[in-house]
Amino acid sequence: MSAAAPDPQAPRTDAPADVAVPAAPTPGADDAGWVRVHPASPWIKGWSLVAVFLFVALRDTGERLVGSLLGGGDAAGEPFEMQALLIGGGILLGALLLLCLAFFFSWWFTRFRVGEEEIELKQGWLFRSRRQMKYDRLQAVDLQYPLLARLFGLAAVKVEAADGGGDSALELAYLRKAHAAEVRREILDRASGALVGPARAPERVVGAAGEPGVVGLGGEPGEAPSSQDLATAPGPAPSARDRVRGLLADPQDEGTVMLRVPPGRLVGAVMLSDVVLGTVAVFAVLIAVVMGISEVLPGEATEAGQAGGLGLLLASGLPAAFSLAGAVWSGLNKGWGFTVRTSGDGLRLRYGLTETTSQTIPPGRVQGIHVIQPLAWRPFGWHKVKVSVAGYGLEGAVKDRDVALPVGPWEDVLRVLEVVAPDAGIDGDPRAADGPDGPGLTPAGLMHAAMTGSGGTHGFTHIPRRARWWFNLLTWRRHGFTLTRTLLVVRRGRLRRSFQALQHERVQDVRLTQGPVQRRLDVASLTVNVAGGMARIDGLDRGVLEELFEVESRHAAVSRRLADRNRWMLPEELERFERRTAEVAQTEVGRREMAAAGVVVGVEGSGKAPGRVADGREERA
Amino acid sequence: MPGIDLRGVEFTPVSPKLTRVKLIGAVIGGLIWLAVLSVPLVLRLTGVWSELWAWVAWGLPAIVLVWLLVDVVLVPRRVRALGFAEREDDVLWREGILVRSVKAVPYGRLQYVDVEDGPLLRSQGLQTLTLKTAGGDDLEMEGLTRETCDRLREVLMARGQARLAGL
Repeated sequence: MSAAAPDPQAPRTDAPADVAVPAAPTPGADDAGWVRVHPASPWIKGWSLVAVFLFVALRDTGERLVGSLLGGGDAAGEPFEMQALLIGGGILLGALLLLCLAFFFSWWFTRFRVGEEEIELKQGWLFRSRRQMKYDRLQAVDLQYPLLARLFGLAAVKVEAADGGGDSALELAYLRKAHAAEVRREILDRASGALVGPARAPERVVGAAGEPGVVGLGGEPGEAPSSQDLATAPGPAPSARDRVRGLLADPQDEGTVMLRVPPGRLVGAVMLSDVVLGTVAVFAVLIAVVMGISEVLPGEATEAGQAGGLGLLLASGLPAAFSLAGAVWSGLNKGWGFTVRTSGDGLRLRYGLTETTSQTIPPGRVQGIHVIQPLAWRPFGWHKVKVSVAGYGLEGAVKDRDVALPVGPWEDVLRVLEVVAPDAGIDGDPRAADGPDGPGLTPAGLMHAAMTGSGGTHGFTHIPRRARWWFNLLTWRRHGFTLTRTLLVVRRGRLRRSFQALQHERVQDVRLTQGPVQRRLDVASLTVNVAGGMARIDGLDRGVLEELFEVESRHAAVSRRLADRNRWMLPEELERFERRTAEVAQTEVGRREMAAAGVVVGVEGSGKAPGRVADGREERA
Repeated sequence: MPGIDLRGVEFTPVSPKLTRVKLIGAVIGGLIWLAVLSVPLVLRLTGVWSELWAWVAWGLPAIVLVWLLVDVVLVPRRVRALGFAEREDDVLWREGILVRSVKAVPYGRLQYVDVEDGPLLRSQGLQTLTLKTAGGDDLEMEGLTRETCDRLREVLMARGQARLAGL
């Protein structure tokens, strides 16, 4: 590879306008406002390293000290001891220096900036990283006091985003407690729009022990009132949705009971679940094999063989039995007394035998639904409903909390879906029109088609015939998808049937993949990610999936604008939003982007008039 | 053979300098593996572990060498397969030779962006840009020049806002 090859990324003159942004926006401006964490931070973060070091050092010198004390007058050992002590001490000193140096570098290169529009964190000396997060992505800001840090009067500021990961998006660790509280407040103020304008001088913040909180807040005359309540409230700050939800939700409202799962059905469902049947089937085969072997063995070996086989079965069977019992127990325990209520803020679930759990699934938080029917449930017409729910509010442990209905007949499924599933969006769809061959498609009809259907009816596209031998002999007519105005419906499985429905407007990102065999067959796979879930379509025609890729990525980009703007914005958020829009419009990049997006920015600096804002917000804003 | 081909999308390839970085990385990694897996051979040759089968002793380093060779041959093609495209509403990233994929991340979906580099990348003036969405499937864009990376970062942040505003 020649290094002299022209760099393809160099800005081209014929490139679209937005590509020709100056490479270095304003030199110098990038260096302002960076703050370092407390110098003791690496020592606290790397406490285990320090502990190991201390342990080695102290044990060594301790042993020697004790040895020399006990040895007392042993003059012959003295010079040797001294020499060893010197060498050992030298090594330890060197290690200490190295540690100090490493920690110093770690500290020196860890800087953060609470900027006008985003929070930034730079880390690393050899391997550097720089993270940027906009305030509108902020979900919560927490202060954390780990034991060791607390001893030194330090705290960590944890900034959470809805990034689908378990870790904090940004961790500013560690700062002096007062400083940490200060930073948290500034972040919250900026996020809520109470504080705008250039970043506060970091020196003032650092040295502001005597004037906590007032810096910057008073420095912006005529600004919106500070969100004092937000900043001082303990614990995570509620996100916009939570605040809205908080207004809507009435804690006393237990809702009306929609359905209960009877114990008998639950027991049956657990006994006929995949785990139980699978384990039983495996053991049936094993026993049959053992029996078969002992049959063919000659007479005298039969008994020994049987005994050995049984021993083997027992040895492998016991752990399996225990895990099976565990699975059965957890299935029964979780689903016991499962009650679904409807209330103003969504589905209220209550379940559990040893521990009753109450859970609310607000429909606005549901990213997608998943209905499953294991083969053994089909004679009984049972189904299971799972929902994908975005993170923070539902404790993050979505894994086992995603069940909206552990087992129920189709009618129950429809009743649950009626509340949590979004609008099916088939009104105005040609499929919904009554035709010569019968009445048109209803939302329930669509779900039914997705659950039981096969082939190309109801607008489903399935795996092409040419690709059926590639792992899809049984399911090729079944596995497929269909689109409505609002949903992407994916169905799969011939024996174990299931379907998923994702809202277009909840789609986060899309990936189109094609393996070597798929390329030969001219098919591809598509993965659609939502927060807390995903759907995969495998082996459909490449052209069809390319089109779907375009549709979903376009939906993902466009519908968020609508959804975010008119559903979850509080007056002050809308105000901030408009102001940010105006600010962005002032910049070179922003102007071009706005023009491209078709936004007209007024002279007075407010964005396009909020046409679709919910009632009552406009006059307050 | 028909491959994924999105109409009207022109991908910008990543910097060819990434090839050198990846090659150096592959060689360093290969040498480390070679050193580790040559230990049995050395032991056998020095007579410490003479009962070890010859094919095992020679085979282990040979596997590493073949692996390294294949890697070195494939690296340039792999790098050439990488590319990005900025579209009106999203950024596209393309990768893979055997298993090819294209990923779209809408500007409005960005939660935060990471810019990373290491000594090798830095020596070639390259950076890695990671885009995080709430979907949990991060998009890692390798082999961007520092200028491209800075520009993309700025544009992505600005677009997130502008696209949101564009009702």
